[in-house]
Amino acid sequence: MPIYEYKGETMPHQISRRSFLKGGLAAAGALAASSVPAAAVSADGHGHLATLLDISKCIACGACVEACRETNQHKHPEPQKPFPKMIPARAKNVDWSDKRDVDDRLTPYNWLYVQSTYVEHEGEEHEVNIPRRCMHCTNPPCVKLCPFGAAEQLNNGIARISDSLCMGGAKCKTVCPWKIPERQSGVGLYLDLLPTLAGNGVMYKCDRCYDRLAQGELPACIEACPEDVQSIGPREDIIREAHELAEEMGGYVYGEKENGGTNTIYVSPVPFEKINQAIEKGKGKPHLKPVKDHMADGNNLAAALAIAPIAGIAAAVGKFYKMTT
Amino acid sequence: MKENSIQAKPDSKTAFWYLYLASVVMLAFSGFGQMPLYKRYYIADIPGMAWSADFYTTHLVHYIFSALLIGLASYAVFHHVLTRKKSVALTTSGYVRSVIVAGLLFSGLLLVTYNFSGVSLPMWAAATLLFTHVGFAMALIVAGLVALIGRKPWLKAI
Ligand code: SF4
Ligand code: SF4
Ligand code: SF4
Repeated sequence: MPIYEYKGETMPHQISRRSFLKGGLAAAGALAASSVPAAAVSADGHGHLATLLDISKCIACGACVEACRETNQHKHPEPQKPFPKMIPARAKNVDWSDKRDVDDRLTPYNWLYVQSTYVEHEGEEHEVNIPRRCMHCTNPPCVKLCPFGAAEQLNNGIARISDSLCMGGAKCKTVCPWKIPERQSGVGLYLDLLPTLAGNGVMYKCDRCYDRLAQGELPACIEACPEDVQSIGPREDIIREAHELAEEMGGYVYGEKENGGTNTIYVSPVPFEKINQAIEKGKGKPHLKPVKDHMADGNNLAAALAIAPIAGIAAAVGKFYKMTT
Repeated sequence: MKENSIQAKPDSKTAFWYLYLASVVMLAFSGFGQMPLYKRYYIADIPGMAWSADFYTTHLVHYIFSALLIGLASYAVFHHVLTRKKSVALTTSGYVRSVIVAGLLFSGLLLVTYNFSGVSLPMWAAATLLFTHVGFAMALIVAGLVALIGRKPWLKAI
């Protein structure tokens, strides 16, 4: 995949909060700090951007969680109440609007949270804190399989759900290997269609601050982190740096291969299987298991679609041949 | 699609017709199953139907029966051109249904392409494509029912 160019200047491989803030000074002769991410992250740039999360640095201060909520507050749902009566009764309204403060799991109002645990590894106990949000898969099932086309993948790799088109049927959550999107009822297009019979709100998740990126700003959670846990850059560079970092700390990488590849690369000093065992998992609390490429079976089967016309034509020709001879 | 490929037999007696019917029914079922309906509306609760709520399974089923429909369509076109062009022609109903099937297959293949890694579409384009595909599917159902009720075949002798 082609990546963006820095117009002939020395290319910083990744942009963390500190280097971003110091960029104008440090990169003498290079591009101004604000234009670095602008070149890197514009929605119509070339190639995916990925984030690198060095979880050995995270102290679970929660600044990123707070920043995400504040910055993206204008995108949060303001549902109409009472909610439409749902038919059949199996379809339940989901309401987080009175629990907006919940910050220990993913909700429509909390797109990022920090999982904390202790893991023993090679005779040492490690405190591990992992900021969790949408992984921004390189081929996102939530986007590709949305039956209403209410989600899109931007050229820079962001998977985004439209709050004006989403029907809240939650298929994106069902097909997401990490069950990331969260529903809020009482908002969205379904209210104007058949609110009792179809749809149930809007699905919300991290949109990797697509609007900030488009303006050359860093995602709020990256900017707010006092420990420079996250950095963002072209996927190839981020993968390379993740491996260098993992090698340096004798650590492990997660997110590079999961679900066929994601744009969220975690590096940890302890194996992810151990972290996965230790963390609390469940609703709104994603796992850290290995994940197969969920789109692969369908895409492999697509080959059958290419063979089908050949088979059909061969049968017709065979019949023609039989009839003429 | 010209399912009465053997002229002397009525539509409903040929292997082609059964295969076409199977592909259309399964495509419609698995296609509508791409919307989150079958769990909400208890279809998946019917014994043996649990798979219908698994989007990855219905996705594969849709691909498999698309392959069948593409094979049948290719067969029908080539069989017609090679063998029967001079003896039969499409009726109006047959013509309309052929155009609808062509539209379905074309929009479907674009959707298959969209599912590959590295292919992305702006939201408006994906939504338009999906609704076009669903529109053709509904049109085929309507045209099929009209043909069934009005006893309109695909082909007529010339
Ligand atoms: S992690 Fe889930 S919600 Fe995020 S892009 Fe991947 S499939 Fe979509
Ligand atoms: S990238 Fe933006 S939307 Fe996503 S978790 Fe960070 S602050 Fe929230
Ligand atoms: S702001 Fe940084 S250090 Fe604090 S919880 Fe978030 S990622 Fe961890």
